[in-house]
Amino acid sequence: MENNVLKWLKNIFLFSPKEPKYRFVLDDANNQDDNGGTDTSRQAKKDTEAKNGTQPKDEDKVSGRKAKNGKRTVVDGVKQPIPINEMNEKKREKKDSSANALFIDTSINVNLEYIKQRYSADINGDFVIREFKVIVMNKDYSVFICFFDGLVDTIVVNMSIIQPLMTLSTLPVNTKDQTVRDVVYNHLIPQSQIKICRTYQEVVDEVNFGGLGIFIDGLDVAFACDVKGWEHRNVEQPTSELNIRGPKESFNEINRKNSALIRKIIKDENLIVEDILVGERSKTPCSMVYIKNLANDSLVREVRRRIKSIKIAYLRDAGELEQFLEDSPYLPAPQMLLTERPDRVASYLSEGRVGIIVHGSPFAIVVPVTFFNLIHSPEDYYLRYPYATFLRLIRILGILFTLLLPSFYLAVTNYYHEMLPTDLLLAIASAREKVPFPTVISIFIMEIAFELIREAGIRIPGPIGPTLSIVGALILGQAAVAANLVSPILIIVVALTAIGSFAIPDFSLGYSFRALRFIYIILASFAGLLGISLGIFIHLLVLVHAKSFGVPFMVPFAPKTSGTRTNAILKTPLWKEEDRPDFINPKDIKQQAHISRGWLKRRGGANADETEDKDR
Amino acid sequence: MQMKQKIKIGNFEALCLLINMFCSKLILDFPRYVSEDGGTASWLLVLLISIVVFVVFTFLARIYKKFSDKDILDVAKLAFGEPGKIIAGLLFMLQFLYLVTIVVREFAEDIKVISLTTTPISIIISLFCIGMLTGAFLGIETLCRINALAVPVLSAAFIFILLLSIPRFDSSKIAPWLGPGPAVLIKKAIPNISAYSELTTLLFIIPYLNDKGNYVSIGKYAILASGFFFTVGTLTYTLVYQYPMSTEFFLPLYQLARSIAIGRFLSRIEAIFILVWASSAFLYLSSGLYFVTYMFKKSFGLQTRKPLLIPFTILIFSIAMIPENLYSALRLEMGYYRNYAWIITIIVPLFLVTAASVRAKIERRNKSDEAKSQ
Repeated sequence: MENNVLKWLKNIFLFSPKEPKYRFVLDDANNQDDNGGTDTSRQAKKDTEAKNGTQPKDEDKVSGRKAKNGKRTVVDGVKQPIPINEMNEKKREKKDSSANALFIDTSINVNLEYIKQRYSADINGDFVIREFKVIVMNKDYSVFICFFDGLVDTIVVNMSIIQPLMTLSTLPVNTKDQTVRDVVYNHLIPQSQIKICRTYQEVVDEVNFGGLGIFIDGLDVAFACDVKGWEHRNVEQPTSELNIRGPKESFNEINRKNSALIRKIIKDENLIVEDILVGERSKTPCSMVYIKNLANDSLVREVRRRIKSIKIAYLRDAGELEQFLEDSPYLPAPQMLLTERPDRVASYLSEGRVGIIVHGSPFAIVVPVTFFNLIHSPEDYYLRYPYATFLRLIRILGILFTLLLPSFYLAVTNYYHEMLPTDLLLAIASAREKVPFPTVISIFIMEIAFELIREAGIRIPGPIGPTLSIVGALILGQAAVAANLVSPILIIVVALTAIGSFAIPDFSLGYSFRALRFIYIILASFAGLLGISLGIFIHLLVLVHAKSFGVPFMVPFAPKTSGTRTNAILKTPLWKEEDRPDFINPKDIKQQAHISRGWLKRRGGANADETEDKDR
Repeated sequence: MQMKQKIKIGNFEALCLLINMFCSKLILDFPRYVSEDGGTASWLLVLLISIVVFVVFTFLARIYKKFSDKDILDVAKLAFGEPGKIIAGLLFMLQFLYLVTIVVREFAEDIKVISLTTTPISIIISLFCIGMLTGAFLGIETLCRINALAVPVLSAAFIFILLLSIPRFDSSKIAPWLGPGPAVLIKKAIPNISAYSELTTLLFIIPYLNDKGNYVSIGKYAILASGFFFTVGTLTYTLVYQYPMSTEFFLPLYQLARSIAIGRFLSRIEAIFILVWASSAFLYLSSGLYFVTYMFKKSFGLQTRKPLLIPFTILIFSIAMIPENLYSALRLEMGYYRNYAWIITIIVPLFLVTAASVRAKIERRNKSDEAKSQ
């Protein structure tokens, strides 16, 4: 009876009362893919059955559904077909693995010919092949080495590779029970990093990245030595994250130098630098950096999974990697922190976050981050907390100025005159008296002119810089007012907006706010404060909805986390920062002892047995 | 392994959602219509309503405990099967649809009167619709979180406005203290329970709460906090504007903010009030639209909710355009909604929960009888 009523109601209210047999589940990507596979197999099975003249049975349906889980079963002796995509993927993998697995030949002539051909040695000007002889166990062997000129340190090549191979073989060494390979490896190449390679691909990968390959006649292996010696910048002062207090080192473009800069600060054997190659052609070395016994395993796994899943040809910079890793590409705010300061990365790693270093980029990526991390400056930790808090409030004011000041000015002057004191209202009105444009046009003129000057200021060659400043000052200041294009008060508004945008510590976040302020201006011109409210509401909604590697972007306020430490807007004293941020779920939540200032014990400020003093 | 997205709502977030849903009417016309009913004792009337709602909710929560992992539509299904779920869902959905439609019109009319005098009402309603569509699209988790972010700020701004009105307080304006008398106050309190009609939303978010058992304390704290805001807001309004003058302003709190004048600079701060007001409206409307679509989806067992958003937004926009003016919209709210909404808010859930309990008991007895006979 109940079912009949239900059917009747469904017939009335629903277009399609029948429930689909296999519901399409939106939030399970794997199932979607698998469903596709199952459909294909089901279709194939139907075809087979049609050929055999049999009807599908219920059992078969069940087994067909079982195949959904990726296990391709044999039904009725018929092997399930593989989808075309999967087959192509397998073919490509097979092809790649066969190319990679080309083993080194024992004949040096074959090897030499292969390397010459692989590197187009006849036309490749910077590729060097040097052939010579080496004596091992009183026997002459032909040898050749290959490397890229400019990528290697020539002195190291000469003194640590060629000279020992040519001369050390004459020294008396005990070669009893040793093969030629062992003698060369153990006695003739005084190098710290040598890799024994069995395939050409391994040697090629090393040579492409500043290594040197050694091929010896009669050996089915080659030696790859790390002799990198390319020109690079030294460790210099940061250019985009300047500070007065604190370390003044910044990353450079060399992966290992950058990891060393972090390791130099952290000095912990649990600091893991896990290498992953990104880019099918560029094979750019990237390093995931984390503290093994602090970073949450699922976070580390997720970062690793995302990096390894990237399939691109070339990766040049951390900025590119960021765009491939971020949760929401359309969010008007960065979801990762890119910093050029090793001390900042070290500080975040010690909270349980994960850093990513990209070879060739002077910026390291830190994940996960929240909105509030992006408005912090590394200097906050080196200054006393009242000053740091003051600076943070100033920065928030800067953000509000950048985002809302022009639109608020527009709303008040257009819609809410009564909000202004009469004298100020008269001053604004008299200043605007000669301006022929509506306020919104004047604001757009000034803001766009300012953006042009700022963009040109970055691109302009150094010697012409002062000229731009003079022209900019003239256009934005005196001339615009003199020509009655804008009112003098608007100049103050635009100047405050510009200064506010420079106070935002994160470069990428600054871009976001600079762009969004134009939307706020349009909304304010359209609907005054209601428009601004709408803008703020949608902006906040999007930010609250966003996540950075699973961590809500507006945490610890939305959602409110239970941790005692917030340190998001107001800076807490360092000695009070006892816990790591709980929203990262570090393996060890305690950052420091409850009484971190041990000397206080002497004064009775805390109990001698380190138990909590409730009155403190 | 794809990172899974599970909806989880914290206690504080749910509390803020409820507080905003209750209190947003405070900035519309709530102080005025309770002034009409309660006269100089309007604040006592509000206090009485809050106490009644608190007691009723405590009772409802006690009998709901058996179903604390289910929402009210699941309970309706337990009581009367699938048809019961559909009918109850439609009832709740229509209540919210009606409420959201009236409120969007009221907010738009008020904005038009205050600041955007030359802008067509359809444009203003469209702006509200854009906001509520975006909010409802992003879902209940995001809405609760943004409520957690905004409600403390909005509450502070609200209290700030009330505090700045202190210089204009006159204690003689609330005399006689019992207004029209206790009997009248009690009689008027019953229909005014509809001020808490959004309490139903709590019964829909129970399955998403981090700690499902906490819905009782969330509801109680929400009623207490809202009762505080309602009472303090109404009391302030009555202390500043004497009855019957207090029944004349169509936007009582706006009038309160407008009349603030402390020194040379702390005057005419009603523009700040507009920011508070519009933000509260966006939060309320988007939550309202979310629940309308959620109730519809849940009633008919649909797989997804988002495709319903645009049709329902168009529906709300179209219905909101029907009243001729603000007065017509107010009449729809005060004449009909406030008088009867409490039945759906209080009586229907009580009925459903009682029926579900009885049915569960009967089924249990039948099972035990069967077991005995075997």
